[in-house]
Amino acid sequence: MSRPDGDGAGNGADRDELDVLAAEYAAGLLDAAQMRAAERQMDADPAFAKLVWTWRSRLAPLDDAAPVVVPAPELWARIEEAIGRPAPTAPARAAAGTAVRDEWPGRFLGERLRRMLGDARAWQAATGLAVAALLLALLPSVRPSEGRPVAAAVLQGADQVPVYLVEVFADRSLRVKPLGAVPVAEQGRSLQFWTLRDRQEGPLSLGLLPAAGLDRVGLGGLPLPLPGQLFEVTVEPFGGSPTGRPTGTILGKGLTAAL
Amino acid sequence: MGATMGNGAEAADGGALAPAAYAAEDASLRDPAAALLLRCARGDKAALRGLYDQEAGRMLGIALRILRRRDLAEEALQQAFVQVWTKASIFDATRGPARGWLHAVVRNCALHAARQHGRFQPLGEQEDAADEGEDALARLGRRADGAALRACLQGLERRRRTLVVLAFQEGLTHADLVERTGLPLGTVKSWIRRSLLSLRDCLAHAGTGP
Repeated sequence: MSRPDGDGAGNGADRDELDVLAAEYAAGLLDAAQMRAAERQMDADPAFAKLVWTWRSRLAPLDDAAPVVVPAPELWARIEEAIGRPAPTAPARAAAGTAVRDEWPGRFLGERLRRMLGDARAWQAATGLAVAALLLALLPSVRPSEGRPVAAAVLQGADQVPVYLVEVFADRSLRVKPLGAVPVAEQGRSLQFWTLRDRQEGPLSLGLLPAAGLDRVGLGGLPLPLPGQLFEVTVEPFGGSPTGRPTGTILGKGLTAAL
Repeated sequence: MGATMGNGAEAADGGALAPAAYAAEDASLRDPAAALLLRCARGDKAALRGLYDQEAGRMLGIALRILRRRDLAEEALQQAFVQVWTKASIFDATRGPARGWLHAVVRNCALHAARQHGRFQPLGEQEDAADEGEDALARLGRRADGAALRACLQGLERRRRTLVVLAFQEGLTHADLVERTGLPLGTVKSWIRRSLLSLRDCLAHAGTGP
């Protein structure tokens, strides 16, 4: 398989094949099984995902030029009702399987943190650096094969008990993991996850928090959190705060420390 | 109840809040839909309504081209907006305009529905496939941002251009294209492949495309 293009080592042809696959996925040419395979490949391979996004941008003008068709008037009401429902309100990456299985590692981590820091007073006195040092010591042992987080925060609740661990990764994704007992919102309530970068800007919602936490959720347009950025989980009415700002009890809060 | 983040900021170690020195908001100022998505990520339902008012019509048009059935297309549009709401915090403004992301979401919903329900071609709507390519060129010509793609599509031989445009607009698989055009499967696959690579190279040289 030799071609004059690419880097001359035959890799040009392989790259072309991957590019064509990305194009065919972006263009909607693949059948059901092929689509699912391509979506799994996007999850597993950031380079392939990038190829797909590039193709979407290239072909976007065709969709921008699509005819406008006015939806039936009742459609918005159906959408509103659908987003009011419990459903998987967390971004797609929050895997259903993490709920129970992760409880043990989370509890384990929480226990180790507690033992290393001693009692609640020690927690209160702990500086960001101390927490960071602890996390550095503990995190590699939890999931050594994944990318390391660049920052983390321990969200503490009443009596400074650690409730959640927030890990920030270089690709601007977050993982939120319950430490110890998994907080579950009661009937008619939802847990919501917030960050505060600047008092004037006010709290920014990062979405609803399922009981199992969040696994590699993107930060969207937000930049990487700076050290000392506040993260918080509150208990809100079902479906999240109706005002766009926290209205409920704080379940846990903490500041990020760089790792 | 009701302890807000305003007075909760003095957290465990009493550290100071980070200063606000972020450029992310600039991007959303240039892209109003991105600003709305950011507000959706914060749980602002009015922002979702704003996006719906601005974008739902075109998104329905995209879904209809793929699904051909009004009821299925509206269902896909509804699913798309639910996904927009729940995934708004994942939207990455650095990857491109918000509208493109919205279109990708509805396109994905429509394609999955099309694969599930099969294609539906209403009687009497079998338009001449050959015109699709030329119509697309005309529509692209009316938009400033379609200039590069239009020029590059024009560089393709007419039947290959039609294949690419049909495939994209109607979400047709290779097998669907065989039915639609009467060409053999091998020809469809190789024409598509070469046309896509040719478009890629042409857009790279155009300098405006990625």
